[in-house]
Amino acid sequence: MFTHYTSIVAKINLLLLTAYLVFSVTLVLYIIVRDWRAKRHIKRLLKIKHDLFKLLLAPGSSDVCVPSIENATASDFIDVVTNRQRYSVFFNESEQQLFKECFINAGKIKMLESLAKKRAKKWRRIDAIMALGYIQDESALDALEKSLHSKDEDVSYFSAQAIGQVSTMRSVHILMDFLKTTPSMRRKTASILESLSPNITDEVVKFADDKDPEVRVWAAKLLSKSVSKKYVKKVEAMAGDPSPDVRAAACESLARLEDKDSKGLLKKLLKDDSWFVRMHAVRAISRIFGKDAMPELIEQLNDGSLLVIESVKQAMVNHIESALPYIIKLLKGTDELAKKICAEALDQSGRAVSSILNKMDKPAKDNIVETIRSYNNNLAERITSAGSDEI
Amino acid sequence: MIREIFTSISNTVFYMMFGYFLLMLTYYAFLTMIGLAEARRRWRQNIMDDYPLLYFSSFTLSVSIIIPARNEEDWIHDSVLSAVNLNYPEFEVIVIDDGSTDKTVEVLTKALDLRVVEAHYVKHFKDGKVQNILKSNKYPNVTVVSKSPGFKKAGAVNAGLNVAKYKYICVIDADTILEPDTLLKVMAQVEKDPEKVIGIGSYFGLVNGFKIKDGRILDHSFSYNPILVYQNLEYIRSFFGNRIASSKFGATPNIAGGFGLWRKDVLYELGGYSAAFTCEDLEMTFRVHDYIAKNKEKKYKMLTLPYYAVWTEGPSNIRSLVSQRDRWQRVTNETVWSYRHMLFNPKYKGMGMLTLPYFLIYEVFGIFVEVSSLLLIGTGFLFGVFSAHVFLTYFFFMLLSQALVSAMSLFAFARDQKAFRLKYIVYMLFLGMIETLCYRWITSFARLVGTIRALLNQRTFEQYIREKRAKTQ
Repeated sequence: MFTHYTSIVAKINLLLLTAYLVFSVTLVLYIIVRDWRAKRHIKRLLKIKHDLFKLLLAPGSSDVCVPSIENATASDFIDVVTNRQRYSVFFNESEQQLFKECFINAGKIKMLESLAKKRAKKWRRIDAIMALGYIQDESALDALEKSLHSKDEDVSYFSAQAIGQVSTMRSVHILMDFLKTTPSMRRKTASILESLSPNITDEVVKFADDKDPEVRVWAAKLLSKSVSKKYVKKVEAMAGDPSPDVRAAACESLARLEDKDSKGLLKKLLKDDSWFVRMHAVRAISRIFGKDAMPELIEQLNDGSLLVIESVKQAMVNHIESALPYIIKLLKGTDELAKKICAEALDQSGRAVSSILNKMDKPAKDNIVETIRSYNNNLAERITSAGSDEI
Repeated sequence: MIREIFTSISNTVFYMMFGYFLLMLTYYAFLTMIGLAEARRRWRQNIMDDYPLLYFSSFTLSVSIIIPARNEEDWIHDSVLSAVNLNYPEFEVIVIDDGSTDKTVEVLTKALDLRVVEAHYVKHFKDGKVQNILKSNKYPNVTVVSKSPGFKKAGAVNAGLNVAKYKYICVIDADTILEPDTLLKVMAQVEKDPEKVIGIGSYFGLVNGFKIKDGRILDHSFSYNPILVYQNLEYIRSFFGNRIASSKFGATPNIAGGFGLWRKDVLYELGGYSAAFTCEDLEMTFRVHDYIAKNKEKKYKMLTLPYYAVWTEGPSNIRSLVSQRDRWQRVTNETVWSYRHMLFNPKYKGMGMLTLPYFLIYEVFGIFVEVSSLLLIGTGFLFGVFSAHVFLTYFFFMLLSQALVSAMSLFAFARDQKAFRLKYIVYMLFLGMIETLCYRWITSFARLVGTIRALLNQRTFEQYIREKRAKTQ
């Protein structure tokens, strides 16, 4: 009975063996060819580098580009302008600039635009899209805008990056529209827009009153890249937005802008209904006003949200010298949570507290150490025995 | 009479074995083809992506890295330093000393210059007793949580979760060295759609034999020790012949404990890691699939990436290997049993229709088919039921099926990865060919032990015994 099956299995074995050998041989050949092609590619880049070097040494003849540059592909172009093969060949700025000029003079933009529209070979298309971005020619934006709205998420993603590379007001406009219409890509688009700052704010501010609160959040965050006072006022206005997320984003932006005129506004936000807004208001006040805002921040230790209290603690750690008198006062009090937070702030400040104490006269220092000791002996020991070299 | 009964049993087992190997071959061939395209896509994305943009953006999402460690004095120094030296704008490293009895704490104290601090500790998840929280004077973004042993590795990771402050959690093993750009590469995928991507795993290789100094790999010299080469081959088969393609169908089988990134709110909603299982990673992945199915309108995703994220130590001798695989088998059986409601349930899409059936047939029952086939062919041959010709034909069938799966996966791996030299690949192909003759017996034995222990409900987490590391000068 088994003999029959054995003959079938023997035939299957032969098939399996053949498949195994085919895969193995193909793999070995593939690796040999791949390594050979990689070497050839490096050689081609070296030749380009050599030609660029010669062109740079012969001033006035830069408009005469040699074939190695004219025949370069989109992938070569990206290699040169991004130095992604930097471990084997590195191009300096003047070489990259000259290469760009030669590439454009050779009429490559049309070729790239045509490739960027083709759907057949996706990754060649993306190479072309990225190359168009690195060329930084505004005329390429039409082609890039089309590919940005491609259904293929890779094509769309890399088109956004390429548009960011072009870095003109129109690219900002396209990207802001994209941010509005493509929720999933908002963070990435905002990162690209951020890299174009400070030129983006004129365009971004148009989205500060958008219907979608998430778009307003990103507008508030991006406006923190502004250098103009009029946009600071806009951010301040956004701190009164009906959406707590927008108000929190406005606090974050005010902190980044270090807007000294916003104290009253931020103090008001410390009483906001949303803990998220209060937390960001604490962080903003701490960053902008630092030690001068300690009374307002300490008051926030009564907040109902632990995350707000945690932010206050962080502010105390960051400005421990000005927080120390308040900490000592609180340690003598009866609020157990406040005492615990103060002890944590002291401990997490590391050697800074020890350094501050060492600068004090003995009675003042002893008074503080005793207060700490009465709350937690180990903490007092740790603080007094810590070095003070890292303040 | 006995001969007739034996022949009848043999028939059944032969059919089973034949069907099993054919099914396995078809499954791997199908997924390797999908994996080839998916791995190529991820690889191209990796080459084209603008990582400096991600690095310098103030909107880049922050990550908490959790490193649970118990008796890891040999590795913890390099592991932690590889984490603190990552190229990433904002992250924290949380090391959990899970009641180490060796010099782990001393090594950490020396490397990080630790001090005990008062810190607010909210116990969200089961974690064992936390004794101290320490901060590093050298690296402000490093925290060490010292706890007494309890709740296995899950308890240690949960302790890390209790202090983690960022929205994304990356869990790595303490014998793991991170690639410097790992977080950039992984988070680039999250940034594409942070609302949907809730978990990411990535490929990892074996670090044995590498020269490492202060967390930096100086020389990627792969070991030629057959046990390690076979493990490399197994990882390649698992990722390139299964996981990468499965993740395309929303059926990621496992986000490994060696390197896994999760969105914290999901872990919170699920109540953290469970210590009820032998180990925690597989069960968490299955639980997240359950969560995805319950929140299907949110279209959550779990991804598996093909690039080296970390390098981890693999067992370099048979005893350690058996101990590790026994543990893996137990957690597989426990998890499949606990999540049997997903099986062929269309609600779970790829997970219910592809990954779980694979687990059941190949990972759980496969061991019975493999062992009984080998035993049957062997005893049948010894007792003269089968001729040498029958014995060899079926044996070669098993051997070639396995070898072909390895060759296909290796092809998918080596097409884009340049980690191995040609000589090493040829060596792997050769070892892949003879795997059923040697290595397969060891892992089958370990899986059998694991299956028996799972049936006996033994859920202990035994750390395998490591060989002493040679110090890099």
